[in-house]
Order: sequence, then structure tokens, then C-alpha cells
Amino acid sequence: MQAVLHTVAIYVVLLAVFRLAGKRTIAEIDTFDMVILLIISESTQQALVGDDDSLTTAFTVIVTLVGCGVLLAFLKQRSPRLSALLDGLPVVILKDGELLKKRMDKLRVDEDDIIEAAHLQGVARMDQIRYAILERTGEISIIPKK
Amino acid sequence: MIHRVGELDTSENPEHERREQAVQRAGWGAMALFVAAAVAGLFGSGPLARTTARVGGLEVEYPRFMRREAPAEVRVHVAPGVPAQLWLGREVLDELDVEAVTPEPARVTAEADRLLYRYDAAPSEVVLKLRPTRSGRASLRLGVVGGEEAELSPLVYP
Repeated sequence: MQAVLHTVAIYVVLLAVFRLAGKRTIAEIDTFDMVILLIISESTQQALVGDDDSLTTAFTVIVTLVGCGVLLAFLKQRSPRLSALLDGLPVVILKDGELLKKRMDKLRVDEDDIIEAAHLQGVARMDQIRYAILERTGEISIIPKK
Repeated sequence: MIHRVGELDTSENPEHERREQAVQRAGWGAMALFVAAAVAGLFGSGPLARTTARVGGLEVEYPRFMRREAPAEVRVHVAPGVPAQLWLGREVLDELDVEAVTPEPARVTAEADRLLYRYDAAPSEVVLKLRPTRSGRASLRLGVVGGEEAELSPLVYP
């Protein structure tokens, strides 16, 4: 039971912390974030299994973690409110060729991020963009002008 | 296998998809059962985790299920007036590590078939911290010298 409770606690805390950290952090993973992730995994590992080296506990932790994911996906599908709470909602940051500066500042997105996303999606210039949307995943999608 | 569906080249296969979903759903059920069993205490702590063996004045509380290379605690309650010598069957060393005995005995001696823990004053409870080194059915014999003997056989998961 202890392994299951610890795993669920870690899952909830990580979910909350990463949600609070905001959208941009997901898309902006750099080398330093990788290091942070490794440290997080190292410290949670200790809390999850401690000095228990058995396969059984490892299986319990794995199944509980994956189970939490499956359960949440199932609940999110049923409840748009829960989905909005956990994953957030997309935000339009460029509309009809005009940057929505206020929103961009709040979301810590700048013009460079938009033009980078545009380039990746085969759009060359800012004035060719009709809409730019910061999606729930933290990626920017670009709708070009016709 | 890529084939054409309408105007699309794809390897889509609805029959495969249907079977995959069915297997997945069954898998979720199995996962839920596994977690429920873990919460109940079949793989560690929980309401079903521990049991008690009573033989005469000796009461041993121990985990029904242990795990290999994970700490396991055995509590021995000794009735008052019983001599202060606890013994463990020697074969225990093949299957378990004895990591700590609390309170610490005044002297530990090895006899032919058992380990003897001798106390100056009889403790009412002795806690053994064990760590199984093998999976399968473990056998653990213990008792007080001149008194009853208990034989435990907890199941050790890998």
C-alpha cells in the first residue's frame, strides 16, 4: 500500500508543479532543463522505493504511475473542465497579422518564438501569418494567410 | 502494408485496431487489479500484509508476503516469566539477512542448528529486521530457549 500511496502523491505533486510552471517550459526544454529533470527523477526515485530493491515494488510503482495516466486521460475525456484545469486551453497570440502583445507577455512568448514556429511550418515572413496559436502542449501553430 | 483508402496511402487496419483496443482494455483491468492488490497489502504494507502466529507464550507478528532485497519486520512478543533467550533456526541465514535485532542482545552465540540471542533482562518484545535474499517460500524457525517454537513460512516475491 505504501508504494502505491507514495507513487500517487509524487504523481499529484509533479502534475501540480509542472502545471504551475506554465506552458512555455514544456516547449523550451534545453540542456539545463534536462539536468533538472534528471535530478527530479533521482530524488523521486528515493522517495518511491527507498531501500527496497525488489522487482515487486518496482512493478507496483510502474503500474501505479501508468495507471494514474490512463485514469486521468479517461476522466479528462469525460470532463472538459478537468481537461482545462490540467492541460489548460489554447491561446491565440497573433490574429489577422497583428501581435497580441499583452497575451504574449503574460505567456512569456516573444516574436522570435513565433517566427521560429512559422519557419518550422514552412512560412517565411511575419506578414504571411494570419493566426498564431499557443496550443495546450506549449507548441505554437501557425495559420498562414491565403 | 501500405494500401490505398480513398485517396490516401495508409497502413490502416480497422480489424487490428479493434483487437488492440480490446487487449488494451483487458490490460487496464489487470493493472487496476494489480494496484488494488498492492493497496490491500499483497505486495507490501496494507491491511492484509501482516499476520500473527501464536504458540504458547510466544506471539510472532510477521509479514505474510516479503520481497527479495526489501526490509521485512518480524515482531516477537514474549510472555512475562519466559527466560530471556531467543533463538533463530540456522537455515534462516541461507534465505534472509538479519540486519538488526532490537533491543540488542547481550550476547549472540551460534549453536549447531541455531543462533542464540541472550538477554540480561527479558524484553517483552524483540523486533527482527530481516531482508530476504531469495524469492520463493522462506522458512523461519524461532523460539525461546526451553519454550515454544514457531515455524513461519512467508512467501517471498522476487
